[in-house]
Amino acid sequence: MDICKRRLMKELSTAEKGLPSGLTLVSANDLTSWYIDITVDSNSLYQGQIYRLMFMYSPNYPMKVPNVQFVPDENRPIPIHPHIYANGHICLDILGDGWTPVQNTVSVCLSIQSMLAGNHTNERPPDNDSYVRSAPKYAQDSRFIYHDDSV
Amino acid sequence: MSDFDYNDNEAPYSDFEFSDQSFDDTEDNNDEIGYSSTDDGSAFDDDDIYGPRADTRKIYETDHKALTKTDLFDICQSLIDDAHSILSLPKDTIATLLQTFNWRRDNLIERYMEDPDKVLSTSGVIDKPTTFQFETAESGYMCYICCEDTPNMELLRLGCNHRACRSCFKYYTEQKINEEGTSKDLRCPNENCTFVIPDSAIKVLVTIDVYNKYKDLSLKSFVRSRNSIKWCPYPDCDSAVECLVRDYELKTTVPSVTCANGHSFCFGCSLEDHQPCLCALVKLWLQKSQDDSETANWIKANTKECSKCHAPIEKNGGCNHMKCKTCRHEFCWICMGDWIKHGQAYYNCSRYDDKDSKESREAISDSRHSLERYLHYFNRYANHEQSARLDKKTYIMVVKKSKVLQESIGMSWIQAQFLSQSFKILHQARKTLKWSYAFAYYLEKSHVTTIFEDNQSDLEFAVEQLSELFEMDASEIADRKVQLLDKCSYVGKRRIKLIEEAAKGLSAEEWKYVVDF
Repeated sequence: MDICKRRLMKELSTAEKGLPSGLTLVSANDLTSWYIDITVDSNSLYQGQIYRLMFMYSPNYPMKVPNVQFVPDENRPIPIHPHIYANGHICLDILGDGWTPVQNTVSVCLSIQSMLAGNHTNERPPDNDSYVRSAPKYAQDSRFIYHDDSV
Repeated sequence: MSDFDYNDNEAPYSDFEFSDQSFDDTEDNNDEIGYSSTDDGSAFDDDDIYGPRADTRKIYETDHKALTKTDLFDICQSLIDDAHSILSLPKDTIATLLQTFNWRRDNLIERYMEDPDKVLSTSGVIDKPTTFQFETAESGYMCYICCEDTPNMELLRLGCNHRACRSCFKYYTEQKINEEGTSKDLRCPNENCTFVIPDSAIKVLVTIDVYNKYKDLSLKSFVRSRNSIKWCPYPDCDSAVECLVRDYELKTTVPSVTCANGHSFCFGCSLEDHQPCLCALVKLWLQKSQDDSETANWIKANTKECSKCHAPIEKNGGCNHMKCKTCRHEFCWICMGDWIKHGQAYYNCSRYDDKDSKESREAISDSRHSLERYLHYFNRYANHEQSARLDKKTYIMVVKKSKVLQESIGMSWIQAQFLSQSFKILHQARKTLKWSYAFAYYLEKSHVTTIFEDNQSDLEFAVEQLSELFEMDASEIADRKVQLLDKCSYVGKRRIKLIEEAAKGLSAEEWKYVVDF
């Protein structure tokens, strides 16, 4: 059977049994895209706010990295973070060159959660405006340079 | 971290020896038609035209060695074998280490002798006799990548002890090779594991096509790591050339080389063979001609210069009373003299020969002169470039003609070959001429340039005559074969003369240039 399908089914059945704290599965109607709501518990800039992540899986998943980005909604803004652009694109190495098939939807969520929890700078990336103006539709099609691993 | 931070200060060629010093001396025997990849490059026996081939290298030739893909694999293999015999590690491991060390064998050996553990860990290898093995899953095992849990499925265990099912490894490596074009850094998929999946494991995992692609990619990274080896730039040509020319030598030599498929190109800049023009001048010329030529042509045809500030001015209507937008100088379009002296003669100028008008015209002639000088060379360059393109058409015609000759006149195939051979000489001569104009543009006038330009115009004249001969009817060509061959021989000799003299001047550093580079 198709690796992608089997793997996502497995991930879905695990997710339906319960996700780690701060994560809520919003929808996974078909196996190509999932929506997950994410909150950050600890005392951080993002306390009390819900954000929504969109996962899009290509048929080559999990060999190929899924496209992951924040999607805005009435009550769900795009978090302000030096590695998150105003259009929801996230600059994170595991969502690019650093991806390996060992990672999965939940582990990506946890990485993003800790990226938010560890941040104390209430700023957009320095090149936000120019990037957002010319960015491709999907973050995956951008080539980020991971210049700073400390945030 | 994937980058290896050993500082490699070795001379680029220090760890490479030629196994065979007898370089191919085929510079004049093979040529190509434009950048076409379909050229068969078949041996072109022109002994009857150039006379017997000389054994010694000519001054305009550069030692080089054409390498096929097999040769390149052999070089890699011999590096692996050498390091294997010294370090007594498995060949697989050596191959990975050499990749990490950019194929600098001596550097690898030295570092390994100093600190083997550091070398192994930073290169992602483990010193074990077996770097991978297949095994059967125990009951209850589920592959963490695909979540498959079929009993007894086949697993691959890498040297780092991480394992996953065989098909996941297959998809993983195929994805990396096909989609990402990786040959280096094909690492274990486990998080933070740096173990590099060895060549032999990839060989058994992936399909033969993907494996060949993987080998090609690693060959590319090998060639990239060598300054002395370059790929042939022709489309779809997969052969390479090894040449020991150094960067500083590019000021005194033009390293024309020929690959195993008979394509000739410049080793210095990977552009087409541009004898006798130096790489740096070719670069300047191409920049200049791309930026300026059309504009310069237009300016020359449509504008005059303000006699005070030299700004180019286009007259697009109105009378002859001009006022320069840049410096506000007022002058007459006809005689270029100061307007104040013209009075009311709006549509007629009778002052053309006045002293004042003559002086004004002289003032602008200098900068016009340099523009005209450039266009003089550029137009000749462009003409030969275009003719070389048209040559392609002629070539097709020539091929047809030789068929006609074979069928109607009963000329044998071998005899009819003289047409395509002659054509190759014509094409090569045009290319040389073309670049000789770019070269001449940058030369400072001296007695040597006069000789150079004489040689150039001799060749030019002969080339045009030869070109004309190709326009003849097939039957006429058969009758005048001797004339055609004579002309070819002459063109060939004149071409050699031109590049030989130029090369002598280059190596003796006799040429003076009007630019610094």
